Amino acid sequence: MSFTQTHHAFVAVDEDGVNDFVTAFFTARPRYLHYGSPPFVAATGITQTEMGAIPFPFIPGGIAWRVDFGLPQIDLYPPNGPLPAPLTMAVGQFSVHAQVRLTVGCGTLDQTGDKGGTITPISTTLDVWAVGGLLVDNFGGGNGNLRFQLDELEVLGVEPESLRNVLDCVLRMMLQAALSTFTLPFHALSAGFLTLTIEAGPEIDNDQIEVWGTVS
Amino acid sequence: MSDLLAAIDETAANTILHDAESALSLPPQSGSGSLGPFTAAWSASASLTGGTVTLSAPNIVHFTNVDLNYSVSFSLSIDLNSILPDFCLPQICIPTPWGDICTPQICISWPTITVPVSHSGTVTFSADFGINVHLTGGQWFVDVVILAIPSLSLDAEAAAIVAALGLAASAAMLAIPFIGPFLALAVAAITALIGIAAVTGLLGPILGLFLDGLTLTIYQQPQVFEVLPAGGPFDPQVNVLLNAVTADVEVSDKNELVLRVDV
Repeated sequence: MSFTQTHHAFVAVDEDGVNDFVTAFFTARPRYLHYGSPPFVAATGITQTEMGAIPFPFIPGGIAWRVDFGLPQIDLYPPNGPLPAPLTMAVGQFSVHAQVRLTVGCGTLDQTGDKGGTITPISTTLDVWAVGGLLVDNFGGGNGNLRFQLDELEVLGVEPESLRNVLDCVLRMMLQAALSTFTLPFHALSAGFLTLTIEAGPEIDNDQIEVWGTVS
Repeated sequence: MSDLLAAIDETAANTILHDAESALSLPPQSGSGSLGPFTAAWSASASLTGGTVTLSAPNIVHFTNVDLNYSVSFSLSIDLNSILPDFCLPQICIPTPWGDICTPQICISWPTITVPVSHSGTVTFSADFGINVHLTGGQWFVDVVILAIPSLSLDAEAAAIVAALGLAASAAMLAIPFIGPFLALAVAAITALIGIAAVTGLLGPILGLFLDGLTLTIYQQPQVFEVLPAGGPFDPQVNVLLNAVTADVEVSDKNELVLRVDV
């Protein structure tokens, strides 16, 4: 069977290639994996992104926090190994595995006001797995991007279930936000060989992202 | 399995190769050579258009009915003494009461003329190309390179050039005194001495210079490949290193040109 099938051009990126692009992106722009508020992150730069503290009444300056994602590892269908229940992966889906370190500034407040409180960072590192699919931004003329959209996320090793559900939701939103910064331009799929007008795909199968189309 | 794979069928290969044709800039050529008994300085330029691409194993790109569009200019230096008979005005004597008064015999020495000729034409050829992948100067290239210079059918082109030479020679000789009775003879002599075979013998090697090693680049990218441009002070450019590139023709239910890249 030909690669192009009933089309005139075919492009595939296997999961190693996808992870190479992911590594290149987050190595060049690590601030999209590292977020936090002062004093953990004093200012936005290449390495980290400053956000506001979590406001809460009678906590001066709010609650300081920090989130650090490890480099996400993407696995394209079929899965390379079993996924944590209840996650499953079907044709057209990918899984992503990452570690996330959550840090909060644990403050002690001086209720007398005679002296300032202290903030002690407290952290936990969690293993998260998620599954999702691809989104396409097609700008026409062979230009566009692929993006990675999470459908479901599981945090491992957290009890009780209600706490795990809270973390699943919060971390799914956070990891989705971090991954949304990563886009894979159409021209990169073929390392600049083709200006591809997509006719079919992208599909995820055979451990790769597959796209069919014509050369424009 | 390579990180990236791109495959195109023959339809897309035609698009890619025609883009490569359009981007191709063949350097102009110049030199000198023999046109019959004469020496001609020449300069030439050429471009490629059209053609149909088919693919076959092992790694052959067939390019058929490609138009080689060329322009060539010749400049011939012709010593008319070598082709025209000597011409002398005879001595004329007029009898007078004081004796004959005679003019001297005057012989004309024919000049050497320069005949410039320009001709543009198209020669259609077909040739097989091989695939050459190389990393040069920090850039990956996938070139298709002609395997052998094809034979060119040049008789019609040569006949047109001979006719143009005749016209140009005629124009160049019009200003020569006393040439009138000899003009047709000179033109006929020049075109006969040069002949179609001589023009073919010079034009073929000239056009061969454009076809020798003819290379069409179908892929050129920096080894440090830009995935995303810089997006601001905190978002630098995102690059990947293209470690290896291969290209070949693969035959299944379709013939495809397949590019593989390791990132």
